Amino acid sequence: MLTIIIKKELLENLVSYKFILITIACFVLLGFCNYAMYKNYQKNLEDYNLSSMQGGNVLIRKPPSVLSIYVNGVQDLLERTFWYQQGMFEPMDINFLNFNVYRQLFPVLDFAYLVKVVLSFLAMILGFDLLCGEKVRGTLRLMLGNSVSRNTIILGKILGNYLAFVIPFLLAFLAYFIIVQIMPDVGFSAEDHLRLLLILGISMLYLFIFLLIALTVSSLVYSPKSSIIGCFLVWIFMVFLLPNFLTLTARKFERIPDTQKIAEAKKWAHEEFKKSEQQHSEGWVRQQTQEKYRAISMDFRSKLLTYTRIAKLLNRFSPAGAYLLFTTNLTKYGLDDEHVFRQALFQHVQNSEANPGTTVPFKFKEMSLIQSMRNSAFDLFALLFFAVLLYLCAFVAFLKYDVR
Amino acid sequence: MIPNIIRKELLDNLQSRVFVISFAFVLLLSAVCSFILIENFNEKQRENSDYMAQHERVLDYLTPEAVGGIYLNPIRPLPQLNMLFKGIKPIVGIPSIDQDTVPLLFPQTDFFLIIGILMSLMSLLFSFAAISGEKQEGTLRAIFSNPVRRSTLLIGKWIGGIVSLAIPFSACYLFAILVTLILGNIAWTATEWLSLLSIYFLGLIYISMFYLIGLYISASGQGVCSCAIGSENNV
Repeated sequence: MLTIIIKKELLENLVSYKFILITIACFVLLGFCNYAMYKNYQKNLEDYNLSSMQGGNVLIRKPPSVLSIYVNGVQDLLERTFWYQQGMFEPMDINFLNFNVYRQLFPVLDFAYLVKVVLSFLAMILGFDLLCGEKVRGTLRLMLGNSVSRNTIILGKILGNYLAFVIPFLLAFLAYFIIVQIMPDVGFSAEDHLRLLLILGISMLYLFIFLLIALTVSSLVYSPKSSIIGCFLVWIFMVFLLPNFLTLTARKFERIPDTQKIAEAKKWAHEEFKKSEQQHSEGWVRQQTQEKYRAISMDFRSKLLTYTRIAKLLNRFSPAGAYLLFTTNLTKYGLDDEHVFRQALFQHVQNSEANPGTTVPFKFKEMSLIQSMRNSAFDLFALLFFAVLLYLCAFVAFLKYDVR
Repeated sequence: MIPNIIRKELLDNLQSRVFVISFAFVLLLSAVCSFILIENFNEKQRENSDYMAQHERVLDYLTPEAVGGIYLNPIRPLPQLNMLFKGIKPIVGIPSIDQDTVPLLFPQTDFFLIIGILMSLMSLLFSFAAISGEKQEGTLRAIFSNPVRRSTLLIGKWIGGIVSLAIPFSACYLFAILVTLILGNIAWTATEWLSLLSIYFLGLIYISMFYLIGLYISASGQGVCSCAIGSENNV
């Protein structure tokens, strides 16, 4: 019976407007985002090559990952060009002033954003009338008139609709993946392929969760109109509000001062020590200033680290947050990667100070797949937990559903 | 005839459960958003004034030769409407290696969310069934049995829909302004008030645009809009 229900749902969807809408959206939006992100990757690659040629050990920049074509994450901060001088790193001014301000107004339309916002919305559109729609049409009564359990119906419905949703999504993804592969400057390693496969898998799980949310809402109300409004409100809450409120809550736990204030405090310290230059030697002033700088920075970094950890932990309580953390970690543009890169910069400063007069090469080792997976394991469990919980909610709601 | 259609549309919308739920959600959201934004703004303003004081101290302390270059970083005062619309972060100042990366993944919500996403979705919800819903209920035939032109019906529906959407929008906008005035540490000038008024009217135009898109879909074919409200979902 389960196969019959899945087939019925699949066939019903294949001839519906919703399916056409989803197919068009997948092909058009994925194509557009892949093209835009590929151009962005090419530009970053050029910038990286330029800074490598000019800088050596003075200008340091993280090489762009080919996976940035799919997920942007914290790329804007991670791929800045850093300038090493007088025992410290600073981002280059020119790079800072060229910071793309439009990105603050309009989010980057990468694969993760597309799945997180647009496709999750389409999943809600697909699933909002799964049960209440059948009830309105009177077919749910007919279906339950046969010897079929409610569990089979709900399972068949979710699987049939999910298949109808992921088929165009996978086709579009595959088509553009092949196109991206043959583009110049693009070279995926075996590990990159594996990472991308995991991102695809988690994206499908995320979309499944939103279909389950729609199913749950649909099994709680009796009219499609109420269901669609319920789905929209839940979608707004899950995608935009919950991650935001959780991040703000993290800020309440650990307050971090503004970076401008930190920079000003450093300047103040420098000037204070400079005033005492007449009593002390220049070397003493430099040493004291650097120690003060280090103390201010260490304090700030420790607060920043605690805040980031809390924000990550809390965001796992929202599907959108967990999804974003997982995908950014796997593309090496996550919060952990940024932390690792910064640690490499600080390590370089220490190595240079320990070997004065010699040129110490900058070493940075990206996180391996296992490390990334270890960091993202909780996000994966969180998403699996949401999927199981929502299925149970939908099932319990459907058990009480009045089909008359 | 237009006033009658507007009145009918308005009453239909105001009495619907969808309207009540959406209104409650928008109001709740704007209340939560306003409180969070105000608290953030007050904190930022405190930080900004601390920073300005520290900056002044550094400048007073400096020798005339040292003033210049890196020490004269421009400082942008915090925009007074920043508490409702965050806009772009000032790019002036000192670039730092240590940056808060979390907002890159989870950007802060502002009042734009209410206008840009919630109200536009509400407009679509109200307009999707505006024509096709009447057709399904059979009332469209009844309306056209009277001497009513199609354009009159469309204009009436459009105005009625916009007025009913303007009610929750105005309520949450006014609520946010009131909360801001009471709790925020602000001094709005005529420029800010005019900006707020302009944003309000722009918001109405934006909502109206989405309402018209929904109306177009609803009027252009029964299949598409029926698909949205959950019946006759086949091509």
